[in-house]
Amino acid sequence: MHRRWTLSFAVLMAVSAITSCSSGSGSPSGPTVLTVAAWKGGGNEIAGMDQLNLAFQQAHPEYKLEYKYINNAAFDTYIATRLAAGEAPDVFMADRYKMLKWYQQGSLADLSDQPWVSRLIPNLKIFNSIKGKTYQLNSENAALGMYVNLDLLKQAGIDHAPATWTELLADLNTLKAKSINGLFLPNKGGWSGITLSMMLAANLVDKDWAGKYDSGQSAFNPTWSPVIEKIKQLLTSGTVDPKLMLGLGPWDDGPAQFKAGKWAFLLQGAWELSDFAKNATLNFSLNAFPGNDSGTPKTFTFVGAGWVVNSHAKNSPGAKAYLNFLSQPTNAAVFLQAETAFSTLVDVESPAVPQAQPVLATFKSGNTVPSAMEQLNFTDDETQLGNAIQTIFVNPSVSTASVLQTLDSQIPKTPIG
Amino acid sequence: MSTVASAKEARKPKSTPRLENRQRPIWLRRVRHRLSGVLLIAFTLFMLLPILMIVNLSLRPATDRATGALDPPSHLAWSNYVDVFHQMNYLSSAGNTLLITAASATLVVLTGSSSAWAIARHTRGWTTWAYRLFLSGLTIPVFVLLTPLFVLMRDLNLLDNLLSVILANSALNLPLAVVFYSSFLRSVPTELEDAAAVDGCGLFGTYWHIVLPLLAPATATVTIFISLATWNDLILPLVFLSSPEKTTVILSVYDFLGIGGRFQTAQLFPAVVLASLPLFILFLVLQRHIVAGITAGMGKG
Amino acid sequence: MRFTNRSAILFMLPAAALFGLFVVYPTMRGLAMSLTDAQGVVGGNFVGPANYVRLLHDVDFANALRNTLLFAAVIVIVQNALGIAIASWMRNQNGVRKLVRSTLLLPTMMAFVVVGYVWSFVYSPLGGPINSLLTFVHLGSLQQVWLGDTKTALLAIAATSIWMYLGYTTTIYLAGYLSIPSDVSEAATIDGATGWARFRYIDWPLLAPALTVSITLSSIGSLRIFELPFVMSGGGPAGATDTLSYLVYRISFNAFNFGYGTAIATGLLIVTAVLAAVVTTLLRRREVSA
Repeated sequence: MHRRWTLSFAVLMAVSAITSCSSGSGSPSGPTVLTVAAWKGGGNEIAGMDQLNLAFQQAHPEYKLEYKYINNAAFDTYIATRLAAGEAPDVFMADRYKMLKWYQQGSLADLSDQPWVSRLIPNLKIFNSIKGKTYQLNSENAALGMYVNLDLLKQAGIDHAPATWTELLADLNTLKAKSINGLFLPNKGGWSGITLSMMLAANLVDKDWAGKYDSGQSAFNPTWSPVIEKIKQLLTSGTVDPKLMLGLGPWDDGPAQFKAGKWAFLLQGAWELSDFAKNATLNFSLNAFPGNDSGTPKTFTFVGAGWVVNSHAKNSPGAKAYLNFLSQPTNAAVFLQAETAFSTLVDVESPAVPQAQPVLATFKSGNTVPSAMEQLNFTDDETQLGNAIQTIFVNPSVSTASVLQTLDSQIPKTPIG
Repeated sequence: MSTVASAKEARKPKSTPRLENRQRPIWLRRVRHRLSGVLLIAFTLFMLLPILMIVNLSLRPATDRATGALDPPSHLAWSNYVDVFHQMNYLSSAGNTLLITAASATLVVLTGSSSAWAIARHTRGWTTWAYRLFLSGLTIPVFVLLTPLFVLMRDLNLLDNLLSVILANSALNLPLAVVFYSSFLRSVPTELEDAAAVDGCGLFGTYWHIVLPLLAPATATVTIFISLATWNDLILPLVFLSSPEKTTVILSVYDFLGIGGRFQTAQLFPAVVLASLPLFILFLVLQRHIVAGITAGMGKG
Repeated sequence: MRFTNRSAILFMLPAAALFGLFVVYPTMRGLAMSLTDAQGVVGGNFVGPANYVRLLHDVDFANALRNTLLFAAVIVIVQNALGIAIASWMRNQNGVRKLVRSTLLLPTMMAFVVVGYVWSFVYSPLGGPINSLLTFVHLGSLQQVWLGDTKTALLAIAATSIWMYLGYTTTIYLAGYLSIPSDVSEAATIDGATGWARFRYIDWPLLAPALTVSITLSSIGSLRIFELPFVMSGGGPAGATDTLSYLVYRISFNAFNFGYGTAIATGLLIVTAVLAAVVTTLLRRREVSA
């Protein structure tokens, strides 16, 4: 009995001993440590980072790269606490939402003097700059679109992907008549609803709308009315079961069902493409969502996964070297290829993947718009949009005006502090 | 009570459709008893279906096309476990988690029991208030204190150190131990302690040689409660630890979750089984003591 | 007994130091943030009760509060009722009891996250086990989109939580049953008391201590529910499963609004403390009179 407690004391002492000799970061002479944290580059979200990190280490032996992959859901908690205590990594991954939040904390280093700034595609400025200063290196301009299972369409006697809204609805009816699953819109958590509404907005709402929102010059009501109306139309057409869709997950059920060839249409991002392509029997393409009847469908891109530097970085030169490295054309291309994303730099070609031809063509002809939600300054806007669209799924005959009013009140106009 | 009984007695002479249990023939009672036992096991298995599903799917090769959750795999893919074992850095992460759990449990048991003893035996106004303060600790949501706690650890230079997790975790679990030990002690007579005093044993001696051994069943219970809370805790290790060699078992499980929480069953499920295994073994070992502890601790509240 | 004030303080010192430094102090600072407009490290200006005033008018807060209370009510009632039922069932089964008790505790040992994902699959409307089972036993009409229907989502998640902690609760009640003095049990059997009458007049009063412990723990625990809604439904559909803890997380860590976030957390703390006090007082009184 006594031995048990003595043992436990010993454990406690041992713990203190072991744990106290493990702090410290790098010797004064020799490579300096460079800490990086991201939600890609590990687990199942490699995105080519393993290869890039290896190359960086070889090209820069003066730095010791410590790269940490953190699951996307845990990332905010990880960074928030560390930022608050001044212990955040030198470099971390960001998107515009995070960039805004961290900018307001004073946590981001001004990167305006970096060599790659002039190489960033001009119309992406809002995604990497605030008040004229650059804070982020955008690494991908990810297209979202409608995946189309060409074989299923052929089975129903449809020979091309729908290019107008009317065609889409007609195709859905044809598919239903032939007992083929049509549009898979898994909306548990709200993401598909957000995506659908933004794809419609890309087609139906002026692309300058987002930029004017926070200054009070534009609003959801009544500009987004056509978007809400079309969603209601879709959900009452009898070809999509909103209740069923609310119980299915956009990130697990969605890709799994489409990859298995069970549904004709799926709204997702280009990043899924390489995984879908692994199914050799799947004959599919990624198209812009036909949200209007003009014949030229538009889609939107999400400028996600960029890199920022900690304003209190312990290794500022290393951090900047890392970003510079990633911006080199050959390196940037590796990431883009893995993500099937569009380029963010003027001298880097977007990868040409056969199935993504249609959406690439849309991009090249200037028919993609950057995400409207991403351009608004209220960082929780997507959650609110998701909730609002879910209420339509719950009750497709809800009043359009009430949805728009909710959006305007739940997404306040937020000037950047 | 006897009115009920006598009412039933009164009804017996007339032919009752239902015989009292003790009046049925022995063999029938045995059968009912057996059947009841079988049903209980069946119910337990039913409750375990999701876990059976996890184990089943964890052994399914990634190449299997089967879709049913309980469809047996084409062959037992132990390789899933081997792969995951390495990806999780299992020995290291399980070792860290074990260390954190053992140290937390030890710390909580020692500090909790000594506190509870003082509270239970020295009833003054201030000890009652101390007890209430500990009790209120059960109600605090962790998010409230997370960031200030992180700053504190930073100031103590304990970041990325297992000790930060141990200390924070112990502090958060203390209330449960204090409450449990206090309730237990209140139903234990003080004779042994008084005898020790007469024998000339100092307070600390009494604590060490009499009280702690006396508390053994309660300690087993407290240990399992703390182990359950610590082993699967995500927040503290996520926030305080960074280096890969300091990771805990639950953090490695989390690594198998991609964006939106999607995963491969051939990866996540073996990880979950491996992660829960040490806890399960611990529980089997401490089983007997736990019920004794809960029984005793509940005797007179 | 032989404690003096000084020696009592000495014995309580380690626990007090640990608890004070790592729980009380950060909590005070955390709560203090609720009186500021802190947004991460910026802001932090004292705004008095402004956050609390905002709380009272916040539709999201009211919704989350309502859901949280509903979760707690369902979980506490069902879990404890089932726990008592199963414990009484197990009471006489000496043989299988040990096996059943340990296996029922298996769900408690699994991490929330994984339980959440596994049960999301179980509830899946496309070939998930529950709907498949219902079809199999010709109850196909009872199929639901469990997590997608505002009417069933909260109950489905509550069911998952109950599944996780039923073993815990059953163990407590089984111990309660086992601590009923054997002479009382025997006297009751001799008197011919069985079934409902026995439960009502003998078991129920003597289970009072177990009831106190279990209801207190399950109330406090279920009010904090966060990981399961987070993983299984994202707080949806349309906020039907949003809870206070989840709201605190979103506001503090997604929107960085620490000031307002901690105000909501304080709200949760108050609700928990009040409920715990009420529950404990009522149940303690029962124990004494039983």
